[in-house]
Amino acid sequence: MASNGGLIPGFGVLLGKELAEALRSKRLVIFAVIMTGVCLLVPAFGFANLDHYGSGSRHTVSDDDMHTMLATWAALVGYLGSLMVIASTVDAVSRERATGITAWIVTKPVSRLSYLLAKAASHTLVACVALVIVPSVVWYAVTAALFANVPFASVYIAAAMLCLEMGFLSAFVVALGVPLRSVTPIAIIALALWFMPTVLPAFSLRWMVYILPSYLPIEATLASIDETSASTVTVPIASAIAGALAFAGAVIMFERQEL
Amino acid sequence: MRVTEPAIRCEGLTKSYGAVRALDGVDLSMPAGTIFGFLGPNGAGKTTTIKILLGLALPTAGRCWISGVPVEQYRAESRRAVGYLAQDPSYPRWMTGREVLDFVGRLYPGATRAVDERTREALALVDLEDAADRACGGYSAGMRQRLGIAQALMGDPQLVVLDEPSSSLDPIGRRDVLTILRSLRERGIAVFYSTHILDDVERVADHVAIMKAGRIVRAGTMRELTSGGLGRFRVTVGAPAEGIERALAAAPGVRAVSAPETHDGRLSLMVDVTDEDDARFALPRAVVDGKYALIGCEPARTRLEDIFMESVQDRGE
Repeated sequence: MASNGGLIPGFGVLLGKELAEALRSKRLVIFAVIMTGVCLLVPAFGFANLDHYGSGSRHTVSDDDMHTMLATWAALVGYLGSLMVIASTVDAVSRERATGITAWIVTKPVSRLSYLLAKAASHTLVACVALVIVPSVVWYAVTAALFANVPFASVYIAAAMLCLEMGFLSAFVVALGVPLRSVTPIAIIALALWFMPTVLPAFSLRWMVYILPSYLPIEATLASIDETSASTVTVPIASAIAGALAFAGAVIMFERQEL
Repeated sequence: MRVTEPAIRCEGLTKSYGAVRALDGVDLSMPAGTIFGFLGPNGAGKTTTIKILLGLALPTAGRCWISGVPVEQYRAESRRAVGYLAQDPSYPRWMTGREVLDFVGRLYPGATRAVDERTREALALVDLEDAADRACGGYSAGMRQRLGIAQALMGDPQLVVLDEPSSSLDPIGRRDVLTILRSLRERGIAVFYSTHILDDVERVADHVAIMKAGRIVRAGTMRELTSGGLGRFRVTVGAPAEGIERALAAAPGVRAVSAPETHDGRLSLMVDVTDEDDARFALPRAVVDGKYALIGCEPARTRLEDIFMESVQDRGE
């Protein structure tokens, strides 16, 4: 935990409060259970559709079938996780601001940067653990128990990308809570910016697929089946930069905002 | 921090929201260690002033200082000098009262006393020990207000800013809050107290400022503001009371007696005296010795309510 001094006074205490609040949230537990259950359907369907069960305890499937299972896992976590992150983060700032809790906290020896950073960090941490790491570990354990030829390196890289996606989205939605005071426009803008480029591929601006953060789930899916390209590197880097810039802009605005 | 600095000082504080001027050149000075009643009707600018003092809003013009430190330099580390209770305090509903205080206490890591000790002391001061381990989402308005005062004290502040602390309380809750305010003053903590409950202010405040339409229209010590009737008594007797004026005029220390006013079978007279302490005994004795029916004899001080109404009502209203 950070100290109470320096650039981010109070960050450690605020992060502790946010994490405690997240742990008490039924919404998050429900999301984690749903995500884990959905991920487990992937090896379950894969096992049910085997042409030949063989005699051993674990089965070897073709590379194509294994890729299908890997890509399905990454796409499920990527897209379903996006919706869950937006749903769990959408009121992170607006709810506390409406009830006066934000004003109460920032009159203490904490900075406004600490306040927003604690929000983004806690939502990132919780989303990574509950929506990526726990479901993926369970999914991997069950898949590896049923099938012999499950790769590890590509799953690891895809999971790292999915965690970056959770971090970007958490920071982005928290940042949207600064200029926007109501949950509905925050949700609409977050969903539109996140899903529009995927639904409507950038036909005219092909280079955008190399930088748009909303391509992270696609890149994670491709990475999970070893289909890497230049965008495997550029999209995560651009996403990290875009997330940091959006957050920095929100902090600058928040510093001058009346509470 | 220098103790001799005013707890709060504002010079030419101005705040505009577009064409609306919420504050219009507010000048204010609050001595350290006192209770300051900040009065005004709704929309006068009290909460805006408090927001600027706490760094929750930026002034359009003007400056203010807390314990000699300019508010614009009032960084997070300096905020430990001020405790704040909002008008309608709200806390994370899942936290217990003790957890709220523990959370706030840990935001003040440099405080000399341990968080547990400060929490125990604050809970005892506001008499919330029995409910300390209940989720504060189930607290009554009075309990939330008392918890608000307790959390405002967790940083061992020199100044506590309270925005309408008793507006939503019943008479018992209000009395409790006033008792707490007095005990804070005894501990040397200055209390800046925004309200429109004049009776409360009259009972505890040392200094008063009255705001109207973004300006301070009256300010001073409570004694200065209510000394309009210094050396004057109101004597009330049962009617008829033939010769009461002469009887009172003959009492020792009496300078002048007004003509009596009759109302509901009573006669009221204003009596100017040279010594209030002597008059407390001399005037009732003169009434009783003259065989008149004494109903009341009290100093005819100007009431805060009169001053407030005179200050906030436009002339001709």
